[in-house]
Amino acid sequence: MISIGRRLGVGLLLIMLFSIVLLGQGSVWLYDRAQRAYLLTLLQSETDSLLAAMTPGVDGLYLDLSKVDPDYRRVYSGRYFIVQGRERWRSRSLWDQRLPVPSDSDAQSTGLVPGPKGQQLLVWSQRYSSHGEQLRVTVALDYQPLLATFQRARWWLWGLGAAVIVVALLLQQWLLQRALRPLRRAQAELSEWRTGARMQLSETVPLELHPLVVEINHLGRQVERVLERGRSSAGDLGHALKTPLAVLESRLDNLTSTLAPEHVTPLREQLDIIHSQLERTLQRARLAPEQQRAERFQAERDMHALIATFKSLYNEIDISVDGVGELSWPYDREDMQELLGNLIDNACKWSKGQVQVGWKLNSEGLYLQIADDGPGIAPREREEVLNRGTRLDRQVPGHGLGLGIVTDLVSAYAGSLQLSEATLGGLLVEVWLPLRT
Amino acid sequence: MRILLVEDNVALADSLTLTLKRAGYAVDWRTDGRDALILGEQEPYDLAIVDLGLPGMDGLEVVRRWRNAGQATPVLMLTARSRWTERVAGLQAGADDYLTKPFHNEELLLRIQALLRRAHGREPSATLNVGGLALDEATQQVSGAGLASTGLSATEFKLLRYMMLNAGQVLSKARLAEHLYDYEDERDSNVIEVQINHLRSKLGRAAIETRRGQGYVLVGLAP
Repeated sequence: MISIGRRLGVGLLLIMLFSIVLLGQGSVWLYDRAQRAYLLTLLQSETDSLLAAMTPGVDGLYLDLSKVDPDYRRVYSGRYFIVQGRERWRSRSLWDQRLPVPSDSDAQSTGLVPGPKGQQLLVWSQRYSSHGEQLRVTVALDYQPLLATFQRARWWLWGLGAAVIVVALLLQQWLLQRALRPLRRAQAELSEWRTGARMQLSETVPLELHPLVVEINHLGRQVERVLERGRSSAGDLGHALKTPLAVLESRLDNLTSTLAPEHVTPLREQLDIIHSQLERTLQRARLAPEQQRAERFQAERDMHALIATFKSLYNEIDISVDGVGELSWPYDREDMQELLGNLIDNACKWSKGQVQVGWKLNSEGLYLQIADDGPGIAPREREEVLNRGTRLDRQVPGHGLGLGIVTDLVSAYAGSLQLSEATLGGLLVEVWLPLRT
Repeated sequence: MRILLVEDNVALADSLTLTLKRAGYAVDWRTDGRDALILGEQEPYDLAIVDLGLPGMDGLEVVRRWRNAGQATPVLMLTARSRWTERVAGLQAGADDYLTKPFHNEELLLRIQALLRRAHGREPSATLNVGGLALDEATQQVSGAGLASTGLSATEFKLLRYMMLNAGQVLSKARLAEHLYDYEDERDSNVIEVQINHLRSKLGRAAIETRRGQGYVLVGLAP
């Protein structure tokens, strides 16, 4: 995967390297040029003073050494001259070395000429006419110390440049992390949204992210609407089909007195099949734990309402609830109501007077157990009951699609369901719903 | 026993009315939630069967308004939506029981029976037992100590059931008529008198006392 941070880092590195090389080299070069130009003007004035030291004598002009700078007398001092006239005067500093005199008549180049002892000489040469004599004065100056200084300066510039690059890169990455923080927060909020802990992203984000967050919220609401429409149309279909079905059942029941049972029973069986298929299909269409709605099951409020409902339906049964863990369950409210409703309803139908509901919620999932003191189910029949989702309560009023719906619901949540014998004597239903991460 | 049936599906309502009348209930049928709301407040119904999805006013809302107005009539909710979320909402609105469509007629009758008995403070059981009399609502026969199982006519059954559920109370003819006949029926107090005499001839004269100028009291069989 490409990384924005790495890309920006590499880009910045290249830009910085290029500009630092350009600036470093350029500034040294410019300074070098300025320095040489300045030194050449000094050399020019030096020729003037040498010219002034030419004193007219008996045999013509001669060089008055007393008027010459003492530097010219120290060997290899770095300052040299040659005056070529009738005679040729050389500075003592040249010692046994030759000073390459530019062949060209008036060459005044800023180029460097190799001198004695590895010196690099800046040379100025000019022709004069003095006291009727033609003179050619050449002066030279060692430029080597400045070259060394420039070299050192260059190293310094490289070092500083490298430090600047490192600091700039660190600063850039830090700023980038800071700038990306709202994105990470939005991502965390999205995953909370997915698990149902929130209904939309918070819109207090940097200006640049705001349109994105607004769009995501729009999308979320749209998905919600589509889901809601799907659910309500499934519900409407149910309503639309179930009322005619109810008419059929009711009419058929009214016919039992006039028709022979062998005519009525097959019809009734078919109606029952239609009914149970309809019920389970509606349930499956509605079940979509991965497209979770925002509303979570609130153990305090919703469990209370559910238990109150059962207490009014079965006022002779004592229902106790015992729960451990957070009260806001990270599961869809209606699904949990459906799950608990069916399980508790089943338990109440069979119970002789006592039903126990227990739940435990931790970071891995939800564990539910519903126990009753009814007759229970024989071990060999339990498997069959689960597999077929058959009605457990054939003899008790109420249609017994409950357990079929429960098994569908549990498998939609990738959970598991187990039947065993309760300590109360009846059936113990244990449900485990893992938390989706 | 007089029942208000609120159901907007004509075919279902027809069939249910037939079932309920056969079981000895007087039935008034309304399709619109607003009509039902008013009628439920005016007439002394013993029970209301209310469908959830109604034109005019939602069934839940009707029940909620009745309850807010202090109306205690037992309500059986009929709904096509079988999810617990909806059932809980219905019962929280004040319904006493729910039945999801489709259902069997026997089941509807059982629920009605249970609700009526609960409303009159009696335990649900197979027969209605009051004052030494046992009334089997399925076969519409009465029995008791020293009384062989006796068949009752539809009107006798209606009358006896109402009196048994309200045993010990003085029941005026007007009250009996209100609870035994539906809105459209002709109410003739002489008919009540005749039916009381029929019951007395089957149960014995002492079973029903007459309080002059007030009405009748079911005493039952002497132990």
